[in-house]
Amino acid sequence: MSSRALNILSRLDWPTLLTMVLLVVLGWLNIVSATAEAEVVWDLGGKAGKQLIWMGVCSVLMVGLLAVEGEFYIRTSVLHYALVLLMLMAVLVVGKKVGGARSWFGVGSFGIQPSEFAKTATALMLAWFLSRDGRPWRTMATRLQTLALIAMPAGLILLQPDAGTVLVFGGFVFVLYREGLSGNVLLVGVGGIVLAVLTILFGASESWYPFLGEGSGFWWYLFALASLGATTVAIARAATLPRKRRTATRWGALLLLGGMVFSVGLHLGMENVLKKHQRERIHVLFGIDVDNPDADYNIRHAKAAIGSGGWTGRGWAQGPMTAYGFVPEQETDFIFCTVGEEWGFLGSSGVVLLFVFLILRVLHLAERQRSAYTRIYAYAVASILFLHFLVNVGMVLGLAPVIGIPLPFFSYGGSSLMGFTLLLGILLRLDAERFVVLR
Amino acid sequence: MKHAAHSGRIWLVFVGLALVGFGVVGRILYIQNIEGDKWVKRGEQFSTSVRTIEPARGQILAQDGSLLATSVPVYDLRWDAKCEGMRWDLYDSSIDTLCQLIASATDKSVPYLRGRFNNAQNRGHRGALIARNIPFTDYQELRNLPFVQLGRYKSGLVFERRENRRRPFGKLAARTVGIDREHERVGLERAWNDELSGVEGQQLSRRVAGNQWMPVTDDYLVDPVEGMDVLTTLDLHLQDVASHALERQLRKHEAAWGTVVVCEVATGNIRAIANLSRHEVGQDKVEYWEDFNHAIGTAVEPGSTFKLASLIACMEAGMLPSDTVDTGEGEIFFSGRRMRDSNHKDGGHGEINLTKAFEVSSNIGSALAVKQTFGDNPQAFVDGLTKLGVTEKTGIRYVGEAQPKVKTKVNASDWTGVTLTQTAIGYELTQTPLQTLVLYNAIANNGKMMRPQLVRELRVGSETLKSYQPFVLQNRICNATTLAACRSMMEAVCDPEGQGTAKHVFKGSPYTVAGKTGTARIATGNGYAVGRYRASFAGYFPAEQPRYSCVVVIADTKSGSYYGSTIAAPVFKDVADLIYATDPAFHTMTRGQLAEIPGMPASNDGARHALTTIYEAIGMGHTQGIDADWVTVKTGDTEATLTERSILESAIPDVRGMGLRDALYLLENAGLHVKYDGLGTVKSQSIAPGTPLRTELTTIQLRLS
Repeated sequence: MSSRALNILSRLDWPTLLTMVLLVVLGWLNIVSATAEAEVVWDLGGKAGKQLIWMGVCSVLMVGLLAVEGEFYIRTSVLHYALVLLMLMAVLVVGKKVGGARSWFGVGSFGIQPSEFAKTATALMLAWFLSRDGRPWRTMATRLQTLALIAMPAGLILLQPDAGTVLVFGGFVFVLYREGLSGNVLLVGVGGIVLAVLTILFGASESWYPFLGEGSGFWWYLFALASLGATTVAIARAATLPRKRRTATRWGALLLLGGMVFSVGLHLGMENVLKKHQRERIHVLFGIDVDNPDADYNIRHAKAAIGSGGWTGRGWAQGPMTAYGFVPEQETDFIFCTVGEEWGFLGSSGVVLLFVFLILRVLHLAERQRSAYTRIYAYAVASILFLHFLVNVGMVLGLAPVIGIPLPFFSYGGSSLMGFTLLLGILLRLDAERFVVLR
Repeated sequence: MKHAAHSGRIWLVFVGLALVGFGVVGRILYIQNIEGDKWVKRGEQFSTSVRTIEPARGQILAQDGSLLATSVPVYDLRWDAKCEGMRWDLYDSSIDTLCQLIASATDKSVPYLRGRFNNAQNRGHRGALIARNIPFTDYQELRNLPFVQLGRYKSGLVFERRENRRRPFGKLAARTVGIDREHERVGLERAWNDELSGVEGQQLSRRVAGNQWMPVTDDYLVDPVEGMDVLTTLDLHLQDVASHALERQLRKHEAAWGTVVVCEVATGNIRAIANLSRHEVGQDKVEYWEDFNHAIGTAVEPGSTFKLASLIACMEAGMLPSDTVDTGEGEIFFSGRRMRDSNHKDGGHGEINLTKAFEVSSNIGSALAVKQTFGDNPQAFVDGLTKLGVTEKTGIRYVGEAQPKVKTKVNASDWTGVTLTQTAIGYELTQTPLQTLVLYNAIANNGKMMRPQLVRELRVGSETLKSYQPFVLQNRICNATTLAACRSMMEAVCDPEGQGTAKHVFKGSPYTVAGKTGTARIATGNGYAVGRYRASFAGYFPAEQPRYSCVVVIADTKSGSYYGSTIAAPVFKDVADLIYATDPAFHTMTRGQLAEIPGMPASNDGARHALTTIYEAIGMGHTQGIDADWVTVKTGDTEATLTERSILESAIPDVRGMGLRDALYLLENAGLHVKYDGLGTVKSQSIAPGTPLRTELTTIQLRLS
């Protein structure tokens, strides 16, 4: 046993572990400041104190995770996945309702959020499923099964509802891309985002129409999309070889039609399905003026907090915006505001660089694996971290909609910290075994 | 092939990720350094600001220091139903207690308050008004609830402090004291607003959780200066009597409005000023309350009370009280316009002297006197009036004194053939009741005309900052002969043995009165209304050594009675009776009469020690040998019978029959919050005597009579 333990310590990827520990410690310091609980930390009664307990729990968890043989994770992938699906179903029935979503199991004053573990379990399952043979994308059946594996937990989480976590599941598309998914799928995705942004921007504008008078600018946009798209298809048709012309035209027409249907659907959905405050929230994101001064409350305060940080920040526990609690959820989803205000540009850039380094390091780990399982799993880990980082920081900086997901290792919350510890701990163990076993 | 494709993809992923990282850092750079100043400013706006410190508004006091208007803090409660940190578990367990406490502090019921909370929750209201005007003591009690102690972010409860202006004495002198509202203050609150409001301070404050502001340091940028207390000249007791006497008369005769002003002769200090107007509240229900300061703000045709001014002008121009005028058969025409005396149906007064004309209030007599004296030179008449000061405002410091309108230019187009004779009897001109009083007061004050005053002192705490001395408008308004003649004419009006218009009013009064009645017809848009009159009485007492002057005006009675002598003069009498009964200055003259009061003075139940002390002091017999602290009193013909009244510490005491002071002492010692209405002794109490004291019994209501 002792030789195995030594073996693990020498094979462990220390840069990853140390980066993680650094992020957790920095996160905790910011939680102390954000909850203005510097004096009561050691009572363990406040949030900062609770987080300290969670950090202790997670340290033990990490040691445990590293001690377990990698083979265990691989063989129990399906079990974990099934367990998580059961928990996700159970939480919909017996879960505690917090902030409108039924996503918690209450255990005394602590709560467990199964969706935090669903990410890890799905990553394990995906790795197991796709690593069974080397060519996962050969059959349509495999593709559909893969999609279903991701969609099932995502669907259950959407029922809670917790849109932020579902968004993170979207990150698995990068894993699939790495494993052979056509780049066209990503391109269509990017195209969809572009069309969505244009639809929202034009949809909110006022324009004039002959014979009809004032109306939403969306219809001009649709007109432009149709004519430009048709011209493009025509040019593409002329430019292709005659024998491929028919296919090109069909695909072009299909894409154009799909884009238009998507735009019209989105526009009508925005106008008729979304409630006013939801629409306002999206409009605020795109810098469209809204009448309601409260609509951009979060973002305004978040930006004011970050903006007042300057180059070097106001110093730990010195930021007035943070200290007086203007930024909502500032110890969880908006923790990056506290970083910005109190540590300034240098501090927040440092945190960003730590995350970028961590994600790149995980990708590096992925690519050095001989085992397909570990590689796929590592990609999943990187995707999850990346999506969390992007959506969270993007939200705080006013680049992404206000969707509440935590900043990995940084935000207050036991389930979140445990979930990410599991995610990274398993990866570290698997990585440490990369020379030992050939899978 | 596969490997090559994959390494391309890997690079794409790496580059993409690096770009995202740079993008994020760039965005931070942009927010912090390009937009930085803007956000720093925003941040400071959020967090620090120079806040205005509202100084406490001064109080308005009666002359004995009783509070006529004072500011008390009250709280409005709002609730944020979508508060992020809401502790719904505590909310569910505390909401009933919370509603009960609020209900006991306000006039709202528990179900109503629950409804407010539920409604706010259903609608997701972020600032629902739950209750208004929660008094400070109840607010403190509410703050003790654990749920409330969670604070604004976990309970959603927001208390907003306001200063509420209260008039502890309700409608007593309400309009004169006035209303303190941001726009359109009225009364003393307006006239003395600068003194009352003090100076706003400025303090650098920073925002703390819950949108509250906390001072950064204890120093002020600008020190706030507290508002000064305004000590009025009003005598609460007198005010009470004047107001009640007026209201009784207004109700009896269904009058539209009425006013009484009582003035101290030597100083011009107003001791009481009541203004009541009729209000129909629902079917056949009439209430009188103060809603306009008629005494100061309503200038109307004074009618006969103005004859004093006319006759002074005549006498100053050389006419003698003994000079006669021929009033004929009570009807005369001036430039084709008819003028009548009240007894024209009985053949008029015939040839009478000036004194008699005044005594019986002969219109024709006064008009002829003026016409005989000034017929050739009417301008001299109005100049004489001007000299008397009746054409000018009194200059009292009060916003809204009406300008008297007297035609002072005979060449002007509004001077007609009858203006001279109409002015002589108090028509074709307007005056406020207070302006009328000023002239009568001057006669009482040996010709020295005083400016009426409502405010005696400005104080801060117990320190007097400024005191207002009596202000003399004119040292002598007329010569001594005229003065003496006026006084004797006015005494004749009220002489019970004489022929004057007010001879019945003061029959049997132990004091003497001098005054003048008035019964003016009410002018409408087109001429004078039939059967609508304004009754008035102005005068002073005691006639020999005048101490108080008083004017009463009652407008538009519906009872069929309308004479100044029957409508207005009785109010004067009530006021004079009270002053006579309570002012020690009168009792030096009449000490001998005290013993003649039949029977024994009645006394309330109450503290034995206090009662026996008084009985012994006045030499009244009472039951001996009782050593209970509290007693019930039965006043017999020769002595007071005291019986023991047991007060248990563990039960609600029986306070019926006691005065308020004893009742309050007992009940508040029992830990109860006492509310009461009425005056006198306790008639009933809302919690039955003997009920065991329990903690949930917090408030007891007493009815006094």
